[in-house]
Parts: sequence; structure tokens; C-alpha cells
Amino acid sequence: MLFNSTLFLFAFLPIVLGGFLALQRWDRARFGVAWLVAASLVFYAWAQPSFLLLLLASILGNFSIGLWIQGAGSERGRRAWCVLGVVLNVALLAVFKYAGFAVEIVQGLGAQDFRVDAIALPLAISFFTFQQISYLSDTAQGRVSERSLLHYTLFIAFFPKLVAGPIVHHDEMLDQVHALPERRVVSRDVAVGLTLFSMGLFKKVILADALAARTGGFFDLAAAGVSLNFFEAWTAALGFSFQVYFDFSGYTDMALGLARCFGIVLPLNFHAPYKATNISQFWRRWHITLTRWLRLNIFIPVSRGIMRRGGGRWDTSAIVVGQMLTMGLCGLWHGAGWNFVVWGLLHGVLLVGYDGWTVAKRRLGLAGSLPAPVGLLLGRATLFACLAATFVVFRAADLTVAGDMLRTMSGADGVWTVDTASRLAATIGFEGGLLLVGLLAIVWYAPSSHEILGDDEPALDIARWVREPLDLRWRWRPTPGWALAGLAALLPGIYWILIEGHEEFIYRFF
Amino acid sequence: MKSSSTDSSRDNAGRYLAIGGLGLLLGLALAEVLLRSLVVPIIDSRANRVYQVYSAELPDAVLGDSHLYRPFINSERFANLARAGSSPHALEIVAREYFRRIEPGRVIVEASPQLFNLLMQQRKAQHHDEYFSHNFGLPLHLLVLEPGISRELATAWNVPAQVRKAEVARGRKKRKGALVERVAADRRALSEQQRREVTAARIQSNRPVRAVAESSGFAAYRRTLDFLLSRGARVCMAKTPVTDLYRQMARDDPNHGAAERVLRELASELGIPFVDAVDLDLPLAVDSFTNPDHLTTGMGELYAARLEQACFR
Repeated sequence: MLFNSTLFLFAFLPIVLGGFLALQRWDRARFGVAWLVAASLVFYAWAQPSFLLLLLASILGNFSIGLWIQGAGSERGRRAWCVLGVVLNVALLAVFKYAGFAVEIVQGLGAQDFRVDAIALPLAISFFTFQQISYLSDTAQGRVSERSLLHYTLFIAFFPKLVAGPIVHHDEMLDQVHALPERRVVSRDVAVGLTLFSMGLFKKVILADALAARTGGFFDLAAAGVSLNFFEAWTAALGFSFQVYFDFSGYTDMALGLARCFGIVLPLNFHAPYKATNISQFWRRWHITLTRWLRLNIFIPVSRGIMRRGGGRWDTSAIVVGQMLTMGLCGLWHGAGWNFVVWGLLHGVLLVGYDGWTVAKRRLGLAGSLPAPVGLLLGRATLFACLAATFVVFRAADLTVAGDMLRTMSGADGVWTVDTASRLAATIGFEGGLLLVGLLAIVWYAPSSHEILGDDEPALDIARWVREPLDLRWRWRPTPGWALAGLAALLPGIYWILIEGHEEFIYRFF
Repeated sequence: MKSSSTDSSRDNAGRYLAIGGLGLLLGLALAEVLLRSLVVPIIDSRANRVYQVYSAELPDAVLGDSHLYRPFINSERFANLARAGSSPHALEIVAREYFRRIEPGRVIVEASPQLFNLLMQQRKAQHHDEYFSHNFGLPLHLLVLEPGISRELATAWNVPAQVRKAEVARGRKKRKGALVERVAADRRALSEQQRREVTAARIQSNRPVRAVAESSGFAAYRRTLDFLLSRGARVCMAKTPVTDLYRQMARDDPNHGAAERVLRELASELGIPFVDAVDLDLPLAVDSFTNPDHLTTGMGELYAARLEQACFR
């Protein structure tokens, strides 16, 4: 079941939210957690009933290991249970997500006869596995001691964030789950939640899906062996960059909005990343909770390990190896395929390159040499071009197609040919070009949904992210005017879904 | 949390939600009104047939393509679930959904070879598998929730165009009889050679696939019959009329012959009466047909009456 399906919008959400609010109204709030657990399991099973048992087994297994860690008498015992838990989680992920890719690699090395039956990818396996690895690690370090299976199940399987994140840390959610029976969800929570949800629906349905329909065809043509021209390749790259932006931003808004309707505030996961002026800032704004997980669980341990071997000093190799390994794994997390690995590694190269550039700029005394607005525009434009180029690798059918497209984008095949104008008019047109420029203005200059709702804590610790409050007229308040604005975002999205049906979220497959 | 701080903010949020909820309901109600008043009245449309399934009342029905749709177009006793170009896969879904809530009575199922032509095989369910997914449990069927109908919203917002479309469709129904008779009269003017060419072209386009019994269309067809019988329907299979020339020329085509044999064997296996139009003693002439395999309205009505009699005597 998807957030943008009629079944979810007109049946699941009204029933689950109505039931939850009714339990609160009738002083049965203590059943709220059980109600949400049941709803979350139905939500998951609706998409993949066969994998519900896998999800439940994973939850039960990790919860049990968590209890054994808590009960272990020694540090060694705690560590042993933790290692066992992490190994089991990684094994689960390896079998269900990466077995096919591993077979492909083995076959590529010459063992053509080596075959394994295709294994279906369980929904959200990367998300619930990562979350539980963090939980076990922190349990072993004594930072958490959960003893209620019901609360733990809601922490892992809470339907607004189950399918595509945020990857929630236990200290961000478990306390809220414990407090849920006493927490009175008020109309303001529901108003904030549904407003955020409506904004997300608009981004997903009206912007991302419309872009997919307009620019997805270029990637299909390239995959079919048709040579794109310079402008078509760039349109495809820019179009997908906007599509994935609005798709993921829309999903995140919807997830945070839904959670808020039930009185749970989730961490920010997407904070206007194209406003970043360098790749390092970008990763602090794009899929924030994944970046945090990778930093804590891969980058820091790996870099520290190298540092220790090198005598305890931070050196370049520790950072380079740490960045490249982390981003390679980040790519692999997004999908079991060489496209994703190379995409991750390219981002690793960009991060390492940016670190080098920062040092060089400081040494050469170039820091602050440009006027601030020029520097801002230059930074954003350079970053956006780099991101668009790397997204070609992410989206293309395979690396050969991606390579061809990137060569064309570089201008190596020529920029302007005799049929460029006619092909552009036929494929993109003036409207399409205008749309891309308009979207660029939105992602660079428009306030984000979290800034608009900043007064009402749409995400945890929002003050850390929204340091300069918007002008009062841009800030959301529960007024009739804002209600009409919300409707203006919601109704077109709903009509579009009724007419065209719903499309999958890109991050649903990771 | 700031959000629950004051009573006045709660009141404002309550009003905000009320305005939003009311606006959403009004938006959906407007769409529903547009669909009911402008979209489903357009006869011959897919939305119209989907609506027919939702408003199922008659226990007697006809299933097939245009060969049965036209003869039963004015029938008041049978729900005409036949439509031009309907594949067996789509017919299976329509039959299952139509008889989901009402007990089937007498059901005439077309059994002509062209139902299994290549185009029908490729058309598969014609999107019907996306329909009827979440509306039957509701006390009132909401057309906005039915993809087979709500898809038409894209055009329904253009109210003047939609009104014109509905008027044209109504006019077409009135004029169709006269038009059909004229086309039939024109057929008399065709030379023997021209008639052979037209017939050969029809036979070619209607040509069933090889090994019909193993096709997915035939499997869907069989499932439809099994379903109807399991629900206690009195089923009759009908091979629709074609011109003498068509029949003679189709005899030379092995695929046509094989498909007819398979259908007759299926009828005999399931104990269903199989009525071939040839056995109905219809006073057929060249101008009884608008093309080699479609009857005129007048002859179609006579065929429908005799078919009903032969099927359920």
C-alpha cells in the first residue's frame, strides 16, 4: 500500500487515524500503541503478505538478542551477543538483497554455471535492518534497555516510516512510544500532520510523477540504443535530478506528516539539499538519517581504525579510505548493482575532492574571495551539475548507457547538430524548458515545507535546522487562508491519482 | 510541545481541519456529480459498461463483443455486457464482477471464433483488472473511486465538450439504425469480386490464433463458463450470424474450423447448449448485414429474439 494510493487515502488512513483518535477520546489511549502496531503490520502485509513473517521474525530476533545483551553479565558477553545480532542482520540483508548481485559477480569472474534462484526483495529490508543494527550496538553500549516487545515493534514497524525511512534512532522514537498513552493528540497535531502530508503529496504526484512522464522516456530511449543529443541528455539528467528530489522530499514530508497525526515527531530526513553549495553540505541535507547512520557505523570506525594503525594521527589516507568505503557502501545500500556502487564511489570522489579543494583554497588564500551572492550561485550551480551527472549513473539502465550519456553531456559528440532544434521542440518543447527553469528556482530559493511549518515542530530538533525563521506571512498558521492553500495542494494531487493511478516511490525499492 | 499549548490554537486548528475536510469533500462531490451527469451517460463507452456493472440489477445477461452487443442493444430483459472489441479476459472480469452480488439467471455467452483472434489475445484484460477494486464494500458506489470511470475526469472538467460528446452519443444511438440500414443497402451494390475481397479481409482480421485451446484467451473463456455454472446460471453459447460467403470462405481456413470445433467440444463437455445462428432459420439476405459478420439493427433484433427462444426453450 502506498501513501499516494486511493486505498491508503480513502480507507486505510481515515480508519487508522479515526480509530486512534477515538481510542484517545474514550480514554483508551493505552491501546493506541497496539492499534498502531496492528495497522503497521496490515500496511506491510498489504504489499507483501509473504514477507510479513520475515519482518516479524527480524523484529522478534533482534528484540530477543537485545534482551540477552541486557542480561549478559559481562562486557564480553554483551559484545558477543551484539556481534551475533549484527552478523545475522547483515546475513539477512546479504541473502535477500545482494545474493543476485553476488552471483552476477561470480559469473563475471568466469563461473558461468554458478546460479541461484532469483530471490524477491522484501519491502523496506534495508531500513528495518539498519535501524536494528543501531539498536543492538547501542544496547551493547548500555545506551538503551527496551523490555516491551509491543513498543519495540512499533519503533521498528511504525507504518509512516517503515517503507522508506527516516532511519530512526531509538532515542528519537522509543521515548515517544512509551509516552504515547499519556500524550494527548490534539487537533493542532493533526492539522500540522495533514498539512505536511498534503505538501508531500503535491510534490510527489504533481511534480515528481509529471517529471517522470516527461523525462523518463529519454533514459528508455538511451537504454534501447538510441543516441541522445547534448540537450536531450542534459534534459534527462536534470529531469531525473528533479524527479528524485521531489519524489524523496514528497515521501519524507508525507512520512513525517503522518507520524505527527499520531503524536510522534520523526527526525528531519530531507532539508532542501539543492540549496547546498558543496557536496559535503549536500550529504548533510539529503537522506540525513542514512548519512548519520553511515557516518557513525562505517566512516568513523573505519577512519579511526586506520588512524590507530598510523599512530593515532588523523591523516589523508584515513579520510580518503573512510570516505570512499562509506560512499561505496552507500551506493550499494541504494541497490544491488554496479550502477549504484559507481554512483556511490563518484560521490566519494566528489567528497574527497571537495576536502582537498577546501584545504587548497585556505592555503592559497582564496577563501571568501568572491562576493557572497556570486559564490552562493556558483557553488549551487556547480554542485547541481555534478549531482545531475552522477544521477545519470544512478538512473541509466547500465554503466555502458550511462557512459554514453555522460560522453554526450560533456559535449564530446557535439553540442549543436542540424536536427537539435527540431528534436528539442518535439521532445521537450518550450513548456518543458520553462518547467525545468521554474523547478530550479523552487529548489534554490523557495522555503522548504519544514521552514514553512517551523513554528510547529514538524520534525525533531527543527530549531537546529531552521535557524532563521521565515517572514511571518510565509509561516504556516491554522487560518482559513492556509486551509485553502492546503486544499489547493491536496485536491490536484488527489484528482491526478484518481485519473492516472499512483506511481511507486523511488526510495521504496532500497 | 508548542502545538498543544492553548485552547484558542486548538479551536483554530479545529476550524482549519473543518475547512480542509469540507473542501476535500466538496471537491470529491463535484467530481462525482460530473462523472454521474456527464461521463457515464455516454453510451458505448467503457465507463458506461463499468457503471452498468456497478448498477447491476438484471439477472439475465449477454456477454460477448459487437456481434452480440448490436442485436441486444435495445433489450430490456438482458443486461447487455457485450461491447465491441471485448477480449475473453475482459469478459471474464466483467462477468465475475456483475454477478458478484446478484444471482445469475439466463446468460448468453458468445461462442464465435473471432473472440480468439490475435488482437484479442494481445488486448488481454484491457485494464479491467484495475477496476472494481474497492467499491463493492461501500453502501453507495462512488464513481470517483472507480479507475475505469474516474479516468474520464481528465476530460469531464471540460463541461461544454463533455455535454457535446454525450449529445453526439445520444444522437448516434438514434441515427445508428438508419445509418446501419444505409450501409447494408450499399452492400447490395458491391460486385461479387468486391464482396469476396471484403469478406476475405474480415476473415483475415477475425482469424483465431493457432492452437486456440492452449491460448490464455480460451482459458479465460473457460473460467468464465465454469464461474457462471458454479453460480447456478443457465448458460447458452451462441455462434453469431455471418454471410454465406463468409461461412464458405472461413471453412477453408484451418484456424476458424479448429476454433469452432474447440468451442463445440467445450459446450458438450460442460453440458451447455450451443446455438449456431445457421440453425435459427433467419431470413438472411445480403442487406441483412452491415459487413460480412455484423447484422443490421432490424435483423439483429430478430436474431436476439430467436436466439433467446432457442437457448432457453
